[in-house]
Amino acid sequence: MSAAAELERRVAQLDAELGDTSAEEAFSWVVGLAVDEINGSLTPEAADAIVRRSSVLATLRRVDPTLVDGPVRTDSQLWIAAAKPPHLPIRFQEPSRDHLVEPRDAGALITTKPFEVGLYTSTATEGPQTPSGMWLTYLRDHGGSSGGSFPYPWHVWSIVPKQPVTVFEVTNAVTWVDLVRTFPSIHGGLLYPDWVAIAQDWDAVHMTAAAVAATHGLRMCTNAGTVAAPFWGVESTLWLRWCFQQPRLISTIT
Amino acid sequence: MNHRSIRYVGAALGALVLVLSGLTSSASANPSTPPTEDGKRVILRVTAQPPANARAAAITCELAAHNPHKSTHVSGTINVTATWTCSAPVTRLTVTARLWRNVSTLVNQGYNETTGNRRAQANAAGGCTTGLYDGTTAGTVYYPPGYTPATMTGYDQGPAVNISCP
Repeated sequence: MSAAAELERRVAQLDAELGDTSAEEAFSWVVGLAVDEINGSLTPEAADAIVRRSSVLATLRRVDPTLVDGPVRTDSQLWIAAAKPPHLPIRFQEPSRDHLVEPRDAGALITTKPFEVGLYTSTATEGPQTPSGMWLTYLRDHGGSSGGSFPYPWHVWSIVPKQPVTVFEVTNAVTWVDLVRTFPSIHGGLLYPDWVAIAQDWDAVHMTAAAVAATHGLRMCTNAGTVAAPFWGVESTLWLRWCFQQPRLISTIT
Repeated sequence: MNHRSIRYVGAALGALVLVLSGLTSSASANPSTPPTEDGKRVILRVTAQPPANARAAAITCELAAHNPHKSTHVSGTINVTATWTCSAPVTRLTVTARLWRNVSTLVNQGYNETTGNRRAQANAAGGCTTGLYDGTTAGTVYYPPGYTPATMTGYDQGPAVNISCP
């Protein structure tokens, strides 16, 4: 099956999940289970054309258009700290400047989504003080009482930038490819984002739900080469440096 | 009893339940289960019929252990997921996910259950160690009152995947 056909199938799966479930739940269920890279590649324009027809994205737009099309709502960002599973070192439970590792201070970052670098937030969908959003929905499927990598308790923090910030908005496959082509890093014949270079120009990268739907597990072919497949999973923002007011703990979920 | 024999007893029990219920299983404990036409592995599928003279439809549920994989959200972690997916909400779903390395080492397991839902998911995760990984799942579906059968227990084993770790 071609990459385009696989993506069409995923969009159909997403839309089939709508009905008795919310768009956020449908997205988490279908994309969360898409853990394998899809064979082949397609152009970003083709990926965006397929995803544009998604009913799930249309429904998410009604919940909050910024989830799908950006720009990131900087007053409604939640960072959630889960407890650590036994095989991992202790995780910090409170966001702080001291705990944030900037890309320049990390090791090699040959990845489309760096681990242990920066700070990942997701947009609250039920008001900035209410634990909600696509990442929390994902955690409910993949952690907590269901086992996995995200044991309870979950500490939900509201973090708000203290000054205007520069955010690269990845709103579809085309802008994902733009990001990688503007800040390229080539490894193994594939193009990856150069996160150190990105951090020199931008405070954060916002990956919208439309971008995730169009790129998750998919290689994109471009004139400059093939872009490695990203696996962002849900709408999220990677903050590449500390630029926040004092974080506020809004909930602990056990 | 070692882990491996536990696994195959589990598989046998799952198959036995399905046979006794007169329903067919399209899955087995054989990791070489042939793929379907769309390239996806066949998974366990069970159907219950509604009460006679009821206007409700039959409910089909699928139990699957998915591919073990490196976590895309947590460094140094291997995950496996197991899911029930039903065509309509059922009274209760229980599901256990188990992650195995090199056939016989149980890395971890997770359990979950839902009520009044048509889906349930369990997860198992462990530290990344190079090896051959697979996931297994056992689960029970409790159909709404009046459905036949009232309950079904199944077992599924996902594909084995070689995973390399730094």
